[in-house]
Amino acid sequence: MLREVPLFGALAPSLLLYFLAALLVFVIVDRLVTRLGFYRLLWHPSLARFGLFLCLFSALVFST
Amino acid sequence: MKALARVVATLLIVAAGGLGAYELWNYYMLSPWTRDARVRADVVTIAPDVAGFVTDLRVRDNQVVHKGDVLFVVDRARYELAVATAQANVAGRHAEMVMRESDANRRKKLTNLAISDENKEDSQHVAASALAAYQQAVADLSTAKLNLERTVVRAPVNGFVTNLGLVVGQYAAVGTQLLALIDSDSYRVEGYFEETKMPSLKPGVRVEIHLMSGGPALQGHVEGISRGITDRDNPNGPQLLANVTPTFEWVRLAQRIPTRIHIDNVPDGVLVSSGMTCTVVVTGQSREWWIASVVRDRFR
Repeated sequence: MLREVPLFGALAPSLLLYFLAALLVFVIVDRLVTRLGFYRLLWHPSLARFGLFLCLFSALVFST
Repeated sequence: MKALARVVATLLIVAAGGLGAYELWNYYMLSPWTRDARVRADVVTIAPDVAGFVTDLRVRDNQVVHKGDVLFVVDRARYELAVATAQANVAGRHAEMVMRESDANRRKKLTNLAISDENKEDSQHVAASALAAYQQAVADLSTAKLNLERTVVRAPVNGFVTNLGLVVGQYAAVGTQLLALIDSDSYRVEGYFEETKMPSLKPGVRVEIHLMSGGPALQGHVEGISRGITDRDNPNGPQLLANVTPTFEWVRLAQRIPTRIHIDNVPDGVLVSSGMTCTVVVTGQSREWWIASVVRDRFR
């Protein structure tokens, strides 16, 4: 849960970087899950994908 | 049955994501922390009480000094001469006083055949006047000695000399600031907290201070919260009339309230310098406590 990250000597709020990192992780997980056919088991795949991203994003923030 | 499971599974994923996002919002927007905090310390500007050339500089830049240490010395010659003059003056006035007193005593014993009442009284008054003149000379001597003593300028507090520009030979006029001394016992942190975060700040609440220079966190506690800041929308106009700015802001920015934080301990090897930027995080209350307090205040 870093509050700020050093960027070339300046400290910036960390949320944007977390967002980008979470996006990267999400793309990988999303492809994996799609290949396994997990989304076909669900009701609204796009809603589930959104929820999955939020989970990854908040888990990333609170785990570091 | 299978359709229900599909719906429940989807909703569970979304609910977990929503909960995470809610916690994130609480954490970033409501939790009491600020990136806007500065280390502060009192600065004593040293000015000599007597004028003269600086003849002896006893400190170097950034040196640690203790209360009572000599910082610099102003040329003493003139003040030593002043003491000598005052001493001579005291001696002269003393002799004068003794003479006038013995005159007065002698005349008091004479009869009216030898001296008039007027002369007798006059001699008493002259003796009293000589006594007063002697006392004045003694006081002048004390002043001269005090001035001589004040040529040695001492540190009024424990601290550090900083940004020293004083050199030997420089002329020091009375009251001109020559040297800055940072009071090492007065280091503290001023945290500028947003007003929305005030509910969870109370005097005595424990905080962590993260310096921008990194390293381990400093421990501290809230010492006091400022009870007033300027209303920027209402400066006094001419003739002391109100001058309210006619704006309505769609987006309202939280103002910052200065909060004074006492530094309880500084880990070894961590340099604390007045003016440093730091982040202050309130750790004293549990997260549940402040979330509850914020929610309570929102819906009251």
